[in-house]
Amino acid sequence: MLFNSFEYFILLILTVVLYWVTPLQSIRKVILFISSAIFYMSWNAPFILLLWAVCLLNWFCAHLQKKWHSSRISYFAVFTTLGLLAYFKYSQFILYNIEHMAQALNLTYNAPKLHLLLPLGISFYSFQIISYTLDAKEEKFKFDKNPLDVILFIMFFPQLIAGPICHRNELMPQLQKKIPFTWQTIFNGFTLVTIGLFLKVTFADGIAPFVDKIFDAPQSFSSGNTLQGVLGYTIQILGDFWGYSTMAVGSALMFGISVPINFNLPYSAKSLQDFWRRWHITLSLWLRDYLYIPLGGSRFTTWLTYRNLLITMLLGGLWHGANWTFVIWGGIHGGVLAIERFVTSQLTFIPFAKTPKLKAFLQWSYTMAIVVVAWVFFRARNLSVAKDVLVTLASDTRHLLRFDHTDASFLLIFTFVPLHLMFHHQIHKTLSFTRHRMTLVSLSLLLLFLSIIFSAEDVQKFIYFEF
Amino acid sequence: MNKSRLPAIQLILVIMIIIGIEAFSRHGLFHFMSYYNYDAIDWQMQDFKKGSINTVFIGSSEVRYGFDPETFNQTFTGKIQSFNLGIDGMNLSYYRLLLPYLPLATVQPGIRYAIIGMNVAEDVKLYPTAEQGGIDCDTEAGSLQKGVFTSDFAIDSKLTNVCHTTKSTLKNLKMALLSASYALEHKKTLRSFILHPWHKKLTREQLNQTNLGFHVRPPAESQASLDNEFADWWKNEGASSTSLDSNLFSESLADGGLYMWYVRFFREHKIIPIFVSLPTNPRMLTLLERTNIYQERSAQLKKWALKNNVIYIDLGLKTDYDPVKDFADRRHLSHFGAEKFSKELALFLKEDLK
Repeated sequence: MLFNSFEYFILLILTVVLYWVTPLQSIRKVILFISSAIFYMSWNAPFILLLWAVCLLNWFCAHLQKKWHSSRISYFAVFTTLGLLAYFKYSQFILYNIEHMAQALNLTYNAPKLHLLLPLGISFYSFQIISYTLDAKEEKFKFDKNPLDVILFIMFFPQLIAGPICHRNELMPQLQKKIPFTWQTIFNGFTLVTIGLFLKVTFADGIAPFVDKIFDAPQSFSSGNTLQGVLGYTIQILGDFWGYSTMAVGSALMFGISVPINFNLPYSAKSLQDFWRRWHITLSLWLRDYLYIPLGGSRFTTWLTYRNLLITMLLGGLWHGANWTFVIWGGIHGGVLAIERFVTSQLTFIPFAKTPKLKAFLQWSYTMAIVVVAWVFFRARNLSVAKDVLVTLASDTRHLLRFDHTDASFLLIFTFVPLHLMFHHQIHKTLSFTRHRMTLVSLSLLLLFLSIIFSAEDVQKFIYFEF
Repeated sequence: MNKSRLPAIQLILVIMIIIGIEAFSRHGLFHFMSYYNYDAIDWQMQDFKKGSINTVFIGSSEVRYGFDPETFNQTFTGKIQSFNLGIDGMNLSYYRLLLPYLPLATVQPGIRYAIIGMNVAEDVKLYPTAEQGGIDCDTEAGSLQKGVFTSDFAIDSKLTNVCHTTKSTLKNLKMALLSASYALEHKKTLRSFILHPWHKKLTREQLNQTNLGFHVRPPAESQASLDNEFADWWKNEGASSTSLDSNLFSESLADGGLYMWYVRFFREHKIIPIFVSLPTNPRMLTLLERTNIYQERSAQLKKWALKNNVIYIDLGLKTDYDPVKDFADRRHLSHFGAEKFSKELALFLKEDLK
């Protein structure tokens, strides 16, 4: 069930109504549990057992760890969860790579085709439950006696499939206590849902066909069209994931529950470090807290810090998908983050100190250039396609700005730039609860009307559902 | 401005925007966008409303390219004012589903004759009407048919009941909700209008279409190009095409069959139906070994016409048509062929209608 589907809106509205008319919190939790299960099972019913099993294993290990004070129990749960993720997501990738290595060594090995179905949202819920187990080990919360609460914490449908990745202490207390009903939360939540929907169906889905066309056969297009495709993907992925995340935040808010935001104008970043403070914020924080810092972070030598950055970003890249393109994407980010650190530490003066606007523009340009080039690897289905895209871009630089203005993507790319600033402002105003109810009704009415018009094409999947 | 009034003003503004979009969709959208999802039909229907017409040609692209109303009218020396309403992809089975929704009698109440172009050599398939449950457009229709049957015209005419896509209860509910607003019901076109501001409809000249609905096609380039076309078609489609089902053809002549449906439909509207077999490229019949079948069917049709007091003219097996000059391709007539055929038909009819 996709957030931009009619079925989702029916489920959301029914659940919201049932949730608020129910006076008892325990019943409210049951309603959320059932709706979340329906939401997940609409994709593939049996895989919900895997989700429950992972949750129960982690909850049980957290319980034993508390009892026996043994970190090994927690690590057992973490590595079993990672093992399951690796099995479903990376086993075919590993086998293909063994086959390629064997060919390089003139050995014969044919990788079997496993035909494994990737459980929906496994990358996200695995990370969320791992954070639960590791936080339990650190005794960041009192032990949760009821395992169903832990399952609901993971399975809460607005954030189940593609985040935001919540910490136990962010979400669980809100699921436990009875939240008083206010119309304001409903209006605020629904406005966010419509903003997210508009971002998704108008921009991400509107640009997607052109991007697909370019990335399917980059050599058949001019450098101008290819650049339009690459810029289109830069907008598409933001519109798609930001739209999804905003819908998730809004859907949760309709139950009076706040989940963290994932985006804060990432394309206004003036360094790559700044970019990662603004892009997929909950994943960045997770990687920082549960990978970068345990690896040593920046506590040791400079070179170890660079190594830690690179490892974190390479694994972060691989988390997105079992493909070398994602590893390269992570590598570009990790490498440039390390270089940024190195350059910053070596500078003895502040360049362009007297012309701050020029400085900001140069910083922004450099950051966007890296981000956009890295997206080529992220989008390409293999390294050869990524190479073709980059070669096409480099081969005819004179016509780079000759865009195909007859395609809808042209209009959408250029209107997104000012409109996304406006939407960012609206999201923050809505989240700060400073908007008048009637203003929220106006905004959501207009966006819903326009979203329905723009959703005329077939319903597109969210990109991050794949991960 | 008083700040406390701002939210109310915003709401009024949004409502006005929505009403504006709704009004534009109802009254202006289809001046810029295709109503039938097919420029050729848009022009046909626009031209059909002009002047006074008493004869319409009905059928598929073979009719659209094969009947030249101007030649036809001239041969009749002013007594007949005809118009070509042939539509690509609409063989008589599909046309039957479409015909009740075309505003023929309301736009041109003076129509007396409907000339129905037939291809007797082709397979006959009877599709269920809306009352019989319609057809599943996802599986039954080709892109041409589905395009027209799911167009904005089809939405307004409730034609989507005839050629429907797989529906669930939720989908029905969604459609019912969307039908509350004309803009939302026609969102696909509205979206194209907004996102493709450079979109331009094809002109009548670009379509090579006359103001009487006739599509002017040049003759085949050469014998060699025609040979190539035949070879390609034979390789991709022709060789695997199955032989015709004689039972289905007999059924179509029966009381509840396809041809009787046309007879009844037009007679109910006080229009005289005239069935005509269009010239078939002889090479197609030879290649498919259907000459005998054709003759057999033609005889059946003549018998049927006599029995039901219907005019049937068989001009299907013509040996005096040049395959390169008179045909545009393996099945459609060129404008030379159309002129020749329209004149012949007019002469035949002149005699019959006396």
